[in-house]
Amino acid sequence: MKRFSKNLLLLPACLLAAVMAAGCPPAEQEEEEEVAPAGEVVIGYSGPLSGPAAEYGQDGLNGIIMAVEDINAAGGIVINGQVYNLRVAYYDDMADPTVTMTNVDRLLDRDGAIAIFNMVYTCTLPMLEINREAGREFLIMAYTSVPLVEYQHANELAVWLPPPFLGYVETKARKAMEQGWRRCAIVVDSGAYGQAWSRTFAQYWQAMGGTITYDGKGSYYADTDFSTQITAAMATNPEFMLIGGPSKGTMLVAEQARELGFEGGFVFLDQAKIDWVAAALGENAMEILDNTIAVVAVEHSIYPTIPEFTQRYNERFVEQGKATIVTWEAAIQYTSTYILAKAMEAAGSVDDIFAIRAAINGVLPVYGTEFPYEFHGITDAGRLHAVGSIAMIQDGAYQPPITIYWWPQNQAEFDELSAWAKETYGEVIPVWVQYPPPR
Amino acid sequence: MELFFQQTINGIMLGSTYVLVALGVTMIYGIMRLPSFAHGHFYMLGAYITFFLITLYNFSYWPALILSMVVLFFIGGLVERIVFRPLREQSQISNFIAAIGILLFIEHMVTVIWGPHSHRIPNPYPEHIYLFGASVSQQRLIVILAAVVLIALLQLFIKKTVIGFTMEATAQDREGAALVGINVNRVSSLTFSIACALAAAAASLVAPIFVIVPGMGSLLVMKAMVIFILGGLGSIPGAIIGGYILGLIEALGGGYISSEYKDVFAFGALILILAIKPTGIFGKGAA
Amino acid sequence: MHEYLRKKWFYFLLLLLALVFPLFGPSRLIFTMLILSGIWSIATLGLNLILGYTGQASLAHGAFFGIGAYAVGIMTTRLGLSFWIALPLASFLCAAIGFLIGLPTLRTKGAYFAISTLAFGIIVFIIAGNWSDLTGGHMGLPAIPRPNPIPLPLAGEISFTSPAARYYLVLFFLLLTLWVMHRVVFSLQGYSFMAIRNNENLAEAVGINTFRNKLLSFMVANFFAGLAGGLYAMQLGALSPFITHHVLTFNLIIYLILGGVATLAGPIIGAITVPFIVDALFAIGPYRMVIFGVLLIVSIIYFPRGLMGGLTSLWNRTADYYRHRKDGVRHAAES
Repeated sequence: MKRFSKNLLLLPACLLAAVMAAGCPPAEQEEEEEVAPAGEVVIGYSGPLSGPAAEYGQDGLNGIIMAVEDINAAGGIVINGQVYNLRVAYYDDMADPTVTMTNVDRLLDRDGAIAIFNMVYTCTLPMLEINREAGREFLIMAYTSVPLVEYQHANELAVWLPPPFLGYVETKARKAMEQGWRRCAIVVDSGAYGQAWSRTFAQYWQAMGGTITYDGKGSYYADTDFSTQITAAMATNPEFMLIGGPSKGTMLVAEQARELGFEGGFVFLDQAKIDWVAAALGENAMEILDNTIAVVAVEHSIYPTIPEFTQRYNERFVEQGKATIVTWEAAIQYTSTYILAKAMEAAGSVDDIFAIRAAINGVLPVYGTEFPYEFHGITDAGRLHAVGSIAMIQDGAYQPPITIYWWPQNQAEFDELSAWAKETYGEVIPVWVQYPPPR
Repeated sequence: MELFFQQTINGIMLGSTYVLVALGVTMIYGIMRLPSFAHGHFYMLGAYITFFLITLYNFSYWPALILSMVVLFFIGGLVERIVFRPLREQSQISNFIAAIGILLFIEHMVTVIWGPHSHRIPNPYPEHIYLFGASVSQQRLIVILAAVVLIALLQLFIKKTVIGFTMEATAQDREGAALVGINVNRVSSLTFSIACALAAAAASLVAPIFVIVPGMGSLLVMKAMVIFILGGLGSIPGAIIGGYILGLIEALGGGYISSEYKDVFAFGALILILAIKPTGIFGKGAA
Repeated sequence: MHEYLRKKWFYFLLLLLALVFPLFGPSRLIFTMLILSGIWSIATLGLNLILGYTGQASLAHGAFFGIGAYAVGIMTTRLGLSFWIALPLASFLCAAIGFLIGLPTLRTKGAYFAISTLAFGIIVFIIAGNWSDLTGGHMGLPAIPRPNPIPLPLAGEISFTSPAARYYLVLFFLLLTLWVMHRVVFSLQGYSFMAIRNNENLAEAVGINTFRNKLLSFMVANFFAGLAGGLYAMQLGALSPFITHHVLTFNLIIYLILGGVATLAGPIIGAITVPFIVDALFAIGPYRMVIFGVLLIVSIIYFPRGLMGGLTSLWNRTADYYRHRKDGVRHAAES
């Protein structure tokens, strides 16, 4: 009897293994396996492709893959007459730093990657400890908007891609003030980003004369029911709630707040995607999200390249089930991959990491007239001059976006930038936020 | 007072799902002496099946829910037969490893096939109503009521049917049950099946108000483990009361004291209660 | 001595291999994986004492690993202590917290103990994420310094920036752990632990203070969890709350059971084999964890005593075979 049951197990197990071995493409490593006469440059990626943060990780990876495909289709990069094609090597790290570190070794030893993209701050941290070892240098393309980290972890081989969230904090707080809101209740994600964000927002808000009536947290990744926190928050009579974290949790909080009878506004953390949330909420979306201030949806961006980029992205990833919608993560990683490729050409090298890093300053700016995102330059500490943008939903419609410039050092620089933006994109509402913030 | 009432309803609603999942864990432990750490993943699978029945095959909500329970009933039986029966004579820790294997298998299979992103079942009852100043959505009320109905049905089944008797007898004394001619294997299979069907029901009930993702059962199964220990190993009334208590602790503790340490109250309560009574609230003997 | 060598030659060969291994110039990936495996081995050996030899399934082992890691991280960054002081302090801290947690939880038995330690582990995870002033919260604890170099009388100093130095450091602590475990397991104390595992009531009846023994075993186990955690902090150089998550506990249990529970070699075999299998599975793409799940189930059904158990029975069978041949005895029934 026992023997029989063991065989019973073996059969489906074998079948399964056979089906998988036959049915699955060896997708994780080789994206392009064309017989290329050209050389090859490997761009590495380690990020969450399974587990709670998988969608976020996949969005970022999609951006890199699409850029690499586009660059190769246009003939690769040319250095001293030699043509190189790009290849993405990527490994899932489930947002576990231990796995990230073995992935870094995999990417360097097995794939020979020259740069590694990473999208989770706690996973980037240990990478910063080892990317400057002599003979094993690699460039870190760090996706984190936590402000000032580029100063705290000064690293001449790290590039910080997205805009620091201080710009969002200040602009969203100003916008909320404009609405006449003064009483704010906080129900944000208990993760790293949510905490850093809400603490900063609370400081700004109180400095502007607003009050924080409630400060609570919820695990947007693990939990699904936030009624407890929302009920407690509503008992303090707030005019709006600061919510946000991953889009999924943000959507649930917004919906549950309305279910519990909340009629005020929402301010989203920049991690939450308003278009994703609206799509998930279905037909009542505009009703639920009335008076919401959030990062502008990709499709409402001022960049003229976006419709074409979105269409190609949808065909390449959304229709393949590799993404839900086009996101800023994808657009930013796409554009940064281009910058990396341009920098290699400018440096005239595919393996001198210091030269490639130095060359990045020279290939900027890249504008939204050509790419789905724009970087105007790079700070001394290595953060790209990335543009932030927010929008508000009012009376069932998206209001025009506000564009945030955080790198001008004085009013004159900002005025020049706004003039350029209005000339280039027409209807633009630019604002200036000082960064690093004046003490 | 309104606040207290609202938080109490929130807690009961939380507790309802906890009870349904914890009941499964409790029954499986009672009959098979195995801590079913994969139970949260059967829960998740149940939600996915309901989702696909509704979106791909245009089922309406209730038939989809029932069919999903049926599917999970058979999947549960199959898993018991293939994985846990060969491990019958092995230690609990071996069974634990097998459960980890199952949960990895299910979670990553679902991620690969249906993607890591979340899905949503359209809410069949989106309106909300006001009860003594507290706002409750209809679907939440349905979750609470359906849980009560399922719990009652399960009690009737165990107390009033012959199969139920045999299950109770097996839980009390496995060898004795085998001696008097009860087919212990079949009882184990059936228990696992019913437990999985209950999990599918719980998941399908809350799916319209929450979202469906591959990891949706991970935290829940930890809560279920706490409940089944809190109530006393294998004690069905213990699981029911434990589930509601845990829901209330979370809602009231999270609402009145500290939301970031909400789960600390739940897990801390367990350690505290076991320190006072090492066999849980309703537990009789040692494990 | 000669007799001893003849019996144990295999282990000495392995030790020699481990010692000369870096001379072959392995890739950094192999180095990193072996260093991590060494760290997991130390933690798993600790777990083996409480779970394998004493029979108490502690599901807080990963949490103690994390406490050790954070203790070293906090002491070396915020208090500016030397790694060499922080590491033993962290280990003793884990033993002390183990004492405090053991007092209530070890009064419970079986699954009650398992789940109440699991609950403690989850609480540690939440605290590590939320107590920002101490742990850095979810943002993690960056920039943990490497150990101070050890001055050598003649050859300058040993610095720990190279992976080889860290490899030997971990190997040293692994051997130390193994030696302690060997001494404990084959002592009267160890026999008391095993008596408790085999029959707690009987052990009590013959005069063993079961509670005190379990508490001692729990503290020693957590001491080594903390030691391993401290080494992990040194290897990674940055920490996040994830290191206290119960997923780590589950991994350590997998290493222990697949390697061979209640053996001294098993935990090490498991902690080396399993990560290398997972690494090999990277080649098959997104299905790797699906296959890993199946592998877990299949191996626990076919090798319930783990790789060590499988090897032992294979060894015994071949040994029997040769003995029989030597004696000229043919057992027809054997086939």
